[in-house]
Amino acid sequence: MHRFFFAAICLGALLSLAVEAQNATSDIATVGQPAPDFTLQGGDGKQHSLSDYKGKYVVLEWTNPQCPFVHKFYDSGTMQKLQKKETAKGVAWLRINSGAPSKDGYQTVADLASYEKANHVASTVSLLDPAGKVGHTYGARNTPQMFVINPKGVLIYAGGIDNKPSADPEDIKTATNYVVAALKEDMAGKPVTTPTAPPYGCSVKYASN
Amino acid sequence: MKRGLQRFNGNKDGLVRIPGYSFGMIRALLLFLAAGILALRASDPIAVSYSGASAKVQQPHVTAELIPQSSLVTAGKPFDVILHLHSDPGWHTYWINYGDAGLSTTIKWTLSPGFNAGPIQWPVPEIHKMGPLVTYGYEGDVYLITTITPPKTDLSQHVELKARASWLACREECIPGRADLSVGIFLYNGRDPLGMPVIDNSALFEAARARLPVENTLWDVSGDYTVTAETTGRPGSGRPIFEMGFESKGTPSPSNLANIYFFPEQTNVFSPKNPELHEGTLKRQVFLLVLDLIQNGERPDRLSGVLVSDNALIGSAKAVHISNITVLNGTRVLSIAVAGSATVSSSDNNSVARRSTATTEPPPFLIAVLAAAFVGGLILNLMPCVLPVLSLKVFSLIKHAGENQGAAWKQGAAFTMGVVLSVWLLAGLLLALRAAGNHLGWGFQMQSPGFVLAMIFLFFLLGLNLFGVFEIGTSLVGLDAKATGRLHGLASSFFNGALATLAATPCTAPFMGSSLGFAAQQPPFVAMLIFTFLALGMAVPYLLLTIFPGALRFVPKPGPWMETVRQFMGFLLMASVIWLVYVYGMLTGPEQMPFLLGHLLVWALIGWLYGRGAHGWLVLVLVLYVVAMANGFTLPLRDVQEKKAMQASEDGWQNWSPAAVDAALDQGRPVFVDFTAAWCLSCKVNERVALDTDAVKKAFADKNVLLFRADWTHSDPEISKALQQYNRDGVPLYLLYSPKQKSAPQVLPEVLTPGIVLDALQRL
Repeated sequence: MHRFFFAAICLGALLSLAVEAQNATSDIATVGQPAPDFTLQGGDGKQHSLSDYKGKYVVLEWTNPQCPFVHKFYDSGTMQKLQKKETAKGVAWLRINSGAPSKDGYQTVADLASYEKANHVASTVSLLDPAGKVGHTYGARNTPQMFVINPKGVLIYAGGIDNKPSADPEDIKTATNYVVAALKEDMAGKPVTTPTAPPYGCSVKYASN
Repeated sequence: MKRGLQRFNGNKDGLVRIPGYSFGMIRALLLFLAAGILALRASDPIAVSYSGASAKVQQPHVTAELIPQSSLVTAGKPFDVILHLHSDPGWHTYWINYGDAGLSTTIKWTLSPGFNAGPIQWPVPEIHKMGPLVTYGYEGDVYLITTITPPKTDLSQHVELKARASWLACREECIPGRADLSVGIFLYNGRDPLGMPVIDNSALFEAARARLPVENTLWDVSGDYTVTAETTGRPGSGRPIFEMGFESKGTPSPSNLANIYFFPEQTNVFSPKNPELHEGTLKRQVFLLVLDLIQNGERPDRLSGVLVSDNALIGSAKAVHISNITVLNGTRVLSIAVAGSATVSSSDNNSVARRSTATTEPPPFLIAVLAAAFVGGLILNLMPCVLPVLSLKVFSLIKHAGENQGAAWKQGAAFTMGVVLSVWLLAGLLLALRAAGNHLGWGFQMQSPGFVLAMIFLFFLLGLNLFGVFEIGTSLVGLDAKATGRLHGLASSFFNGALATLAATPCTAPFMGSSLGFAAQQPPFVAMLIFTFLALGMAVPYLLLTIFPGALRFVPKPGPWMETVRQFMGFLLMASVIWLVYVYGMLTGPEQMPFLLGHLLVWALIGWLYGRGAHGWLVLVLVLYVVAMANGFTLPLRDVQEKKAMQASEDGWQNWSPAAVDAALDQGRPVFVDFTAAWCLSCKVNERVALDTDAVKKAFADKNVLLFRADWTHSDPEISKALQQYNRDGVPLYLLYSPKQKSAPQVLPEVLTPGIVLDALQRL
């Protein structure tokens, strides 16, 4: 009896572990499927969930204050303008920094707040993902890297911000912005022409494994 | 020259330029004069010097220069130019496909009319890991070759080759770089006598070309985007892969493919993981690579890349450039026999067929979860909450073994129905409440004092019954099924199953936490399926006993011993009552205790009088009881929220809140959080045997750990949310945060020992 009980517990524990291991990989954001929910701490110190923005368009922008490609879009004011324009239409714009502590561009809540102020960031909220959990769930590899979610909660775009992979701000003028395109097309009820495109830029500074 | 070659040979990593102008001043002077003469002959009257390379342009961490194959090129004859990038140690620039992140080096040529530049010929890249990401590029020196075709001309002349090179240099951080480079060459018509020395960089070019992959002459390569047969949680969500088949062109293929890797030239298509290699023998196919695809990547029709191996593939070359890979888009022509591989098909339409079966077959993962639920249900039978109830049912079976055997399985079926239906009811209620926006988890009913009270009275009466204080004509647990009609017997079995379920739910957590957490996140159908398997697991031992009564041969014959065991089981039930009383106390406050115990005393009295057949007294007591209740002898049935703050900072444990945890971490203190509830038995056991031991307390103090307790005894949406974040649907949950890893705490197992906690503290 005793031995059976012990064996049963071991088996149960093993199976639970298997469940947990599988769970970790089963929820990866996929274009055309519901975007996985997450909760992260924001620059305002509060917890924010994707599900808080149910029924809205949501743009996820992976960012890193140290990355020259992020500078390309912020120093020129392009990203802020875009944030202002889209949030005015009711789009929720969430910036996410998945940089791990000790890595380049890692931010604390206080860093985030002062960065947002200094750079006139016009997003809905900026979020911290130092464990990289949300970054991995969404397969974010670059900064910047963009994701667009429609009001049904379906991921409709994942990839680079535009079609001109360069660090030169001059290229922004002539580039096609895929986020703007995806929002415009989906709002008009049309299918998104370019649902994925190669992201380019700095690597997301995840914790080394 | 010779020295240079030796240096090159002796230096594995860095190519060394072997300039033809190593004779110094004299040669340079001659060159200058010759060039001047030639320049005068040509239309451009400017004196030019040929140094054989552009000026070096220094940018942060990268130096760039442009090197033509020769300072003299012949009209109409293609020649090569190298862009040489030298990165500081630790820094790298990128290949045509940068991999997970980065930016490829580009060259923008500004050439005289009639000149045409080809694409960059890329040396075989290196793999660089950046945390979990993988990029392709070059550390140290890289020589990017471009072939330029000059026009056919009769006029020899000086020509400037101008190029703007752009690159991204990264170590951890990244710095984009750019250089405008210019190098003069002499375009020679091939006829006029040439009175000038020529700077020849051929040796460098030879060495640089040796780093290029050789063009594929061995295989016809084609492949197919598909998904693996093995699937994860969601139906049809197999891992996206590309199956790439290599078919021999007739030439013998290398026999040993050690450590094969494929560098795709297209960005955002393949995951950088090592490919799976299947060597086949069927027909002319040689081998098959299975490459993982990026989840949200592109699926282009044209693919190319570089295959590398530790062994020579063509001649002595270990890298082969495959310029066109035919994408079959589901209509497979290739067929490779690979034993035991589910991902490889053997006929044309199999991959299509496989895709559809992947969506219709229940995914193996779900089967694993269902199996876990089933086993969990099985184990539940041994839990102290359930054992007394169930063992009695088994007893009744033993007692009636031999009598109407045909109907025994019906009893088992009724019991199973009782378990399954009550699990459905409970799970359905849970899912419905949750869908309505309530933050609840498994065991939620224990957060209701009314429910706990009902359980207390039920268990208490059952206990009295087992002690023999009273017998009910038709016993609650069907002990006297003989005395009742068959229909009643079945109803009793059914009720028994339902009772077992109710008693079992609070005991679920230690074994079922993850499965139930998983279930709660699934679509209702899948969730109910998981709960159903839990119920079946619980019911199956009893069901089997009724179906195969022969198994009862192994248990002792009915006799007086059963009465003894029955009375002993009463003690187990009373133990459950103690625990439930404690839960009720935590929910409503200690001042309720005398009243609760008073009620129990009255119930005991009622039971005793009933058992003695003293009906007159029984009526009197009942009337008094009702009168007393009408005069305030009552118990609260609703949660008393303000009692919650009561246990703040008891024993150095503080009340949990996400903000408090963050504040502590910001101060650099490690944090331990104990998600618990008064009604969670395993939580209490863990606290007693692990958390409250002296060794653990001392370790907490030594590490300056701030302790938080999140008490879920009462319903609390914030705690429910935190539990869900860690894929749990109930308590216990133990988190240990390090200030260095603020949002990636260690999650400790559901069953704690002091050793587990101490080990976790060591890892801080």
